[in-house]
Amino acid sequence: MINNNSLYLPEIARIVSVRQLTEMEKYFEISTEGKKEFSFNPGQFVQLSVFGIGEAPISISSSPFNKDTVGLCIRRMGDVTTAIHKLEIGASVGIRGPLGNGFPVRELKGKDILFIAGGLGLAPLRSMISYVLEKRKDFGRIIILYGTKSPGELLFRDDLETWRQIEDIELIITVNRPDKDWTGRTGVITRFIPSLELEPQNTYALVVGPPVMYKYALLELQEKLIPENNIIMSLERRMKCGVGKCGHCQINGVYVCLDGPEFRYHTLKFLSEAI
Amino acid sequence: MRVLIDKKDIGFFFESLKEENTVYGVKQKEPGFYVFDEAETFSDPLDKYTPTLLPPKKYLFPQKETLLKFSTTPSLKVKQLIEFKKQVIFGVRPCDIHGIKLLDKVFTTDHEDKNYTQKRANTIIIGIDCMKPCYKYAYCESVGCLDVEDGFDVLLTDMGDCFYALIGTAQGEAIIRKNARFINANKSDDEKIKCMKEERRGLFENKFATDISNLPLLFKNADNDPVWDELNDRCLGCGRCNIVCPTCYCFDVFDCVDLNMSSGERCRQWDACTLKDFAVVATGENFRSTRGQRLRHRFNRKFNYLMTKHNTSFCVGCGRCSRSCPVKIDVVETVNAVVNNRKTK
Amino acid sequence: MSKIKAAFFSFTSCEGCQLTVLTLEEQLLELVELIDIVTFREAMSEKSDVYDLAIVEGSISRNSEITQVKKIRDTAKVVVALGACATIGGVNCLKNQYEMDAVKKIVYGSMADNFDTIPARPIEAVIKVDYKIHGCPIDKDEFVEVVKAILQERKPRIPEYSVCVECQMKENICLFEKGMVCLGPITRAGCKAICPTYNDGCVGCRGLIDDPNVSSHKKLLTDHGLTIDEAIAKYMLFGSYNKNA
Ligand SMILES: Cc1cc2nc3c(=O)[nH]c(=O)nc-3n(C[C@H](O)[C@H](O)[C@H](O)COP(=O)(O)OP(=O)(O)OC[C@H]3O[C@@H](n4cnc5c(N)ncnc54)[C@H](O)[C@@H]3O)c2cc1C
Ligand code: SF4
Ligand code: SF4
Ligand code: SF4
Ligand code: SF4
Ligand code: SF4
Ligand code: FES
Repeated sequence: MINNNSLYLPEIARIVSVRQLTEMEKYFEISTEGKKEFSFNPGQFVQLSVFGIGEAPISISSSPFNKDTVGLCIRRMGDVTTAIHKLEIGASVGIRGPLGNGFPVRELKGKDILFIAGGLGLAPLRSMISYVLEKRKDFGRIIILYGTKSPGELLFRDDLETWRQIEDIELIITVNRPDKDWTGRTGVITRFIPSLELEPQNTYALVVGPPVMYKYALLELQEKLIPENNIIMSLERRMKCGVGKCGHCQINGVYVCLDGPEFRYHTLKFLSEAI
Repeated sequence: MRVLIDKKDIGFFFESLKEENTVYGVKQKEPGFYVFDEAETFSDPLDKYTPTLLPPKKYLFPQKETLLKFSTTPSLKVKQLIEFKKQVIFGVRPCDIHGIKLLDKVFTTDHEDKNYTQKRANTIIIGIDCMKPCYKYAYCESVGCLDVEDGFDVLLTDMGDCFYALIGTAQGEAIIRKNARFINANKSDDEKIKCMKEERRGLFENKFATDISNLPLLFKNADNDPVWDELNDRCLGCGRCNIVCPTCYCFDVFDCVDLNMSSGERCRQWDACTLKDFAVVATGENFRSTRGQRLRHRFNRKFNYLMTKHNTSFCVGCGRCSRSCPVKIDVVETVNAVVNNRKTK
Repeated sequence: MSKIKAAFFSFTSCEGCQLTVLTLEEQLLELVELIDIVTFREAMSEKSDVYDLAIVEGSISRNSEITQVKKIRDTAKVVVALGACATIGGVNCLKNQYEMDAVKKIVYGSMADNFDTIPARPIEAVIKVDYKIHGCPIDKDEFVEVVKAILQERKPRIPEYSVCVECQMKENICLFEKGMVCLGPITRAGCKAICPTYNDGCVGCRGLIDDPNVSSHKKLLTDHGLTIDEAIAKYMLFGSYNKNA
């Protein structure tokens, strides 16, 4: 069948659940109500539309084994993200995607996986973590490093609790600015890399966080002799089209939407504008 | 197939195309300044015009275009919009034919952009060859864009009292047969054209100091070249160089609601990578915050990034940006500065 | 949803921007479906002290206006600065180059002592402004865009780029190529490059773009035959309000 659909035409989807995660973030589950099955790779994203306001790229946070709904964890930042925060169950939005490539799940099979999530970086990584947990025996060690500025900003607390109780997950949670009730670790997330005992050739580090985090995470991972090919980072750039046309997300010769958003360090190190 | 069309019959050809198509030709706006515009009758200054203010890309990828129409009440409805009509662009120069070929690549590689490809599929391109430099800014020869083998339906060459028309596509042949008065060209006409093409070689004095194929590597190693600092001081960040370029295709996308606050459209509009906000994200980070970095990006797109991806120069040498830049930032000068700075390293 | 109540106010200005709003015609009819206009000096006489949205035209150039505009801020949820006088001080600020007493004498002659005049300033110099509609006069479509943005609670689409972008998209011949001069390259767009379209150099009524390269532009003006003083006078017409003065 010839597909005459425009690249820019979103599917209409409905919000089927809304959960306030923190002051700034809400978790939305949306569904195209059977019209489209959602097959995606962990790490892929969608272009989410609130019609009349615009579009914004949002990572898929849910498990790839759930094909009925797509889970999106959205921080209220600007026009589109604020508009969606005002929407309730039953409201219609548009989605295009899945876009981008996601993590190379097949290659990760049999490896030790070190997840490094800073702040909202947990959103795309949560999808990958769900995948790994579902196929637990296909992977080696699972280490999750997760840090936020303050305890109030920790996302997906019930997941964190579940992961904490799973024996073969090593979970390290830290906050930069603890409050008086905080009893856990404090300090920036990258501080906790040196104390990890890793088998560098067999370890993949999946890193997602704010731009400032990457430089430090890299230094620590290189110190640990993790091969450049095994350090995979997801980058954020301004996006408009999501399909490699509009030029906004370009970093040197690559397009984050098309060639990413995940990149290996051995690609990124040749891109002067990347990190 | 190649034919001869007598000069007095070219107006007939032009007007006969109007029966089934919207025909755009070249008009002089003011002495020395030309534009493509819809034309009633043939009056094109075909032989003498310099590159038009905007390239003909505006008919394939308009300044502003609606992508979707939507209404949110009573329930959300969204409809795509792909507008096209049968059109002829008459009198396209070799540089601009190459420009369109590059846009063809861009809008079909990885994903097909139907808003472009549908317009393109309904467009007939009648080219006009150049036998001498159109103005001092042209360096089409230096980037391999003076010679054209395809990308046109018909390519006209001025032979004095007639046009030699080289036919590039079946569609081109069909319109010649249907809409033109012509006679077949013979061997000696072909020879004459070959000679003319030989003679134009070397007339183009504006050129790069190295072969174009060396540029991707040179630019790759020129991230910290002092030339970008100089340009940072000079460039106004006004965006004109992007807007006039036949191979710039970056765009912005935005929604517009009607005053009933429930229906509206999603549009795209030309954007420009030399503008300050081009790469800014919601957290305020600007990944190319200086004018120098942004110009470096623009030059790299022409001679490195896209050139590497598509294996051909992404500048067609039309000189529009050099002519338009208010502070006279010139592509050939800039490229040659990069080349020379690399040599002295 | 109850309709937003909007009030228009006018300080030191020619009131041309309010007039521009009145020329919206059919769109104005659609607009009053969305907002209630409770005070409008140009169009209606009755005044109301209850409003959500204050649309303020003109610059502040008397002490009494400072008090008035502060009261407006206290009443309104949203304040919009309307037109160049309100957004950047506009031509009123030209007087700031002179001593205030001299200005009073020039403007009011022997009556000068009865008037209270202070250096002119944009609204923002006195109160917080939520939205700005630039230009002298404003562009109608941009007014409508800002109203929609307020209703949708989003940022309005006001260009951050130069007038050149709009000017070139319209395929105008650049005035610099015709031996004239223009502030378009460093001036914020949104007016559809109206002046260059009618063969007049842009005089910068919409204010500067973010991070303008003024030194290079000044050189461009002098290369095109202006003296330094003439170049500065060009910038001063709309750009003479100085925060730090
Ligand atoms: C691959 C990718 C995945 C992302 N995943 C998430 C996620 O899971 N959860 C989440 O809360 N946020 C995510 N973001 C960031 C999110 O896209 C921005 O916060 C959002 O675009 C801001 O849009 P806005 O309209 O609310 O803000 P405004 O500031 O009003 O933005 C206006 C427009 O600018 C562009 N833009 C601005 N900032 C960004 C940005 N950071 N990235 C891309 N485009 C931008 C968009 O086109 C947007 O519509 C992701 C970004 C990328 C690139
Ligand atoms: S970069 Fe300049 S010379 Fe090259 S194609 Fe674009 S406008 Fe023409
Ligand atoms: S740049 Fe070259 S191809 Fe283009 S019009 Fe001039 S001479 Fe012809
Ligand atoms: S036209 Fe010239 S001044 Fe304007 S952005 Fe381009 S290089 Fe800079
Ligand atoms: S006329 Fe003015 S606004 Fe238009 S392109 Fe030239 S400098 Fe820019
Ligand atoms: S061209 Fe310049 S002076 Fe004229 S309306 Fe636009 S910004 Fe104002
Ligand atoms: S978002 Fe348009 S090219 Fe990547």
